[in-house]
Amino acid sequence: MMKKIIIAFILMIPCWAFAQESALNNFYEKYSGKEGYVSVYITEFTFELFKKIGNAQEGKDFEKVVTQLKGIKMLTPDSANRATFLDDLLAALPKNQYKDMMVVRDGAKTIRFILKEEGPKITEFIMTIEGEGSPFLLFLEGDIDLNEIAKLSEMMDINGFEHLEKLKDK
Amino acid sequence: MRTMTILLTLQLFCATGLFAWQDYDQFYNEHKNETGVLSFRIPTDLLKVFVDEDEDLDGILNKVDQVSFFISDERAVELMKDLRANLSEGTYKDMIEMKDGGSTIRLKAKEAADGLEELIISVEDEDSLFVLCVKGVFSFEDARRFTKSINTERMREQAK
Repeated sequence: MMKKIIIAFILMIPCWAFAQESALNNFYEKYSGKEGYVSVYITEFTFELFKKIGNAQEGKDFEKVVTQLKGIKMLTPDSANRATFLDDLLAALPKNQYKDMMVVRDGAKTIRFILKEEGPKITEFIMTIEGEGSPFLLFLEGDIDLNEIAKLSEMMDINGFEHLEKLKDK
Repeated sequence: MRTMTILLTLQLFCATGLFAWQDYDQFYNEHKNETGVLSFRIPTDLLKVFVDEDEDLDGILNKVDQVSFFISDERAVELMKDLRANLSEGTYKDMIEMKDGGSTIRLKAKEAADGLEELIISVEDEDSLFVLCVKGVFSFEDARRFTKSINTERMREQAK
């Protein structure tokens, strides 16, 4: 009997591992590398490098932001796939895990911020942009501090990240 | 007897390739003369003639020791596998991966004591492989400039 329980337990492990997979990452993996979509993944190693940049204060500030960051991913569809992109994304995110945080309307653009919380921690931070061109998805994974995240915009100096500064207005 | 055992064990490790040093140069030198492969190295001085130094690149070119190109449109899949095997995770760290349909662009870096000593940009397609290797002494600030080349607004425009 004991042997059967152990075998059943071992067989269940892959199922649990699969259950742990983030819905957001599944969405990203589904479209990344597919014809009609452009994706970018900035790895944890890159943030490790950035921590070592600049003067002591800048380095300290950046360290606060990125210490627990596991990566940034971006995804955008071409014109043929844009119509349902954001609807598909929102449908893929379970409502009991992902919460709308803020919606900003900036001219023709709508910028939406969504969070995934696990206990006291924010483990995923999503920003979507729609209007004026193709819709755009950006998300951060790790242990995310909302108070620090707007600093990413200034520090990384990547075009498009300026929308993160809208979090300061919250 | 003990010495013999140690020697035999060491020989076994070497034979299985566990001690083999793998890096980009090994890949480049192994395949550079193969049919269907175009490979060349550009001296830094010549590179300066071709590249306009703008604000972002200002100073970086002076830190470049060597630039090499590797282009193949034959046996690309086989070469990609070999390239990945030579750019082991322990030595070459992934910085950025960009996918545009079936094309994948990767930026990998080899870390030195106080910066980076090698940057490798590969563009993989289902039937072609392009690799650019830049060697030199780069600061972490230089690495940040490389990421600055990512323009999300341009991504959206490109997708239009």
